[in-house]
Amino acid sequence: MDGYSNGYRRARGGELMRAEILPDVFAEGLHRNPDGVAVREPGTEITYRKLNHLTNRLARALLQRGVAPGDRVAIWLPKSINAVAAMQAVLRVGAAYVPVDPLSPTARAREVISDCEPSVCVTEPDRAAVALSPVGPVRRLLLGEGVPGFDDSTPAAPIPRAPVTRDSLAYILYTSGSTGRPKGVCISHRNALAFIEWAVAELEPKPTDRLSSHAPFHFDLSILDLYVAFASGACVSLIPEGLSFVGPRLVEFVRRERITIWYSVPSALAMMMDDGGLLETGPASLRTILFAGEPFPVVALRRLRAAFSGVRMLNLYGPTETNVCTYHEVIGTPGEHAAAVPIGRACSGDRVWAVKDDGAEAEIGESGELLVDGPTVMLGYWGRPAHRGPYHTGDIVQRLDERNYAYLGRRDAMVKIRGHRVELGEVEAAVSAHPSVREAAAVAVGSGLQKRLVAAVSFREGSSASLLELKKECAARLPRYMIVHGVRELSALPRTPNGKVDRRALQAICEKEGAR
Amino acid sequence: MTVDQFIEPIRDYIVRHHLDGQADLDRHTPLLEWGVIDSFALTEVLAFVEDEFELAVPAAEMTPENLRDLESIGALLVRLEAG
Repeated sequence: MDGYSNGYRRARGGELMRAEILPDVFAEGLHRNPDGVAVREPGTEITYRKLNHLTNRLARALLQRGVAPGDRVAIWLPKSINAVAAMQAVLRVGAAYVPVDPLSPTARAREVISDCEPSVCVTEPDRAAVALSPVGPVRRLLLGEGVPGFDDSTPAAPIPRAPVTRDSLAYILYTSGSTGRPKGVCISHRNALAFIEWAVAELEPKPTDRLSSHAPFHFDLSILDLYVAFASGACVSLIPEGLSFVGPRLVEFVRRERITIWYSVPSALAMMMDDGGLLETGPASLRTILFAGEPFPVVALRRLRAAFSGVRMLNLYGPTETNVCTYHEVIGTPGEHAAAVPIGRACSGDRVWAVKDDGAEAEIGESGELLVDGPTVMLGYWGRPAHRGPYHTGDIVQRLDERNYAYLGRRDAMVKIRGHRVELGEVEAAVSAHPSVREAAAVAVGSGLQKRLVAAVSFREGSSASLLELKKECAARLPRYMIVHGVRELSALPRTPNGKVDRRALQAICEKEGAR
Repeated sequence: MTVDQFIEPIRDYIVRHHLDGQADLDRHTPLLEWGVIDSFALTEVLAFVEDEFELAVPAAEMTPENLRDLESIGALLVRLEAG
């Protein structure tokens, strides 16, 4: 048997989770805790048994609409029990789900939906017109209301097991693409299970645990929340989109929901500390805090550590293309002058190493690009040739010792804003769409969790646009975290001798003078 | 106070601190949807409201509906003031 489930076997003393493919993880929760609560959303909750019935009904509705193994099904719903059931139903019929950001502007949602060529889009009536428009190829819809299936968890006959293998596509997550268009990362059942089995072994969740679900479903952090809960029959509490950006409400949520395992980007934790009183009123239920997606500033982590000395803290690392491939456990309080929190060592059965510019592997103390190989490495990008060999992360790391690494920065124009990946080319394309803009370039200014996007813009002769107008232009095309924070007006963008935009000069201009 | 009395100082504050002083913000401009205020800016705006009007917005009222635009923030503050 391949080695990727070793971690799981070790932790459970031989008691294997019976997961051959991803939907088996939910089946495990159903088996362990049928009458326990599986998912909570504000005002309501559902047990494993009822969620299983709801999933079967939805799966049947998908089959009736012609969904076949190998198809894609777009899920464009607010974060909800229904969205969870829809994802599980798609897996159950052997198709792959594609979560579409419920907050993204319709133009972007349409771009994602038309790119993945789904056979069905599961959505709400008021979004249906967009999904069905001539631009999108979706001809069949499953609506969230008024259709038998949703909100009906009376017993339903099980669905025959679909003919899929571990190497079949399980889901596609769209991330910002360097070409100016979002790109779909294709994850197989094997990819997802390798990570989930590691996470379950490491976190040892119990049916009494309550996991937070802070990340939206189109963001890879959500995989841990859902499937680690399901693997153990624990409960996952969904944080609706509208709540996830307000510190005091998040702290209130943790306390009210008695969350035991919290997972989010460091920005969210910083918000909870700075505005929500997390440290002063530390919820006693927390036993594990996980963070990923961006470096956690040591100063902030020291405060968190001091307030929650008995809580286990793990820094997880990995691009969407590899899920979580390294981790570092924060033991004790990092020193006052400590450098960044390490991303640590390989996990999920993966192998990681750093390669220098000359192609040689980095020695201890040296830095290079981090490469990842192993069971979590994606199948490839949707619509492009299959990925082969190790994945080149584009992240520059320093090798700290034999096995551990620290993140130093990027080797390309990709930046992270609140843990979200932002390809500056996409931002530039959106700003440039404004009729007054002759050319635009985007840079990220500031550091750490205060990083912000600033666009340097040169306008057409005789015309101009306010910051608000440019924000509006971005909002029509991009997710919210990609909207520019400021604008710096220039008569022309700085160029290098060979005519390319001089990003270093631009960065200096925007850092020095800030936004216009 | 009326909705308008609440809106004007908040509008000035947002324009000065988050829109580079450009005054094209109206009472129906979607603040969150267009990225005029993000989670960090929201904290600052609510701190300003507390200083200016001595009104604290409880966490439970910090919903996307209540913070959608100046109009809805004004309406929320009128409601909070009335107790």
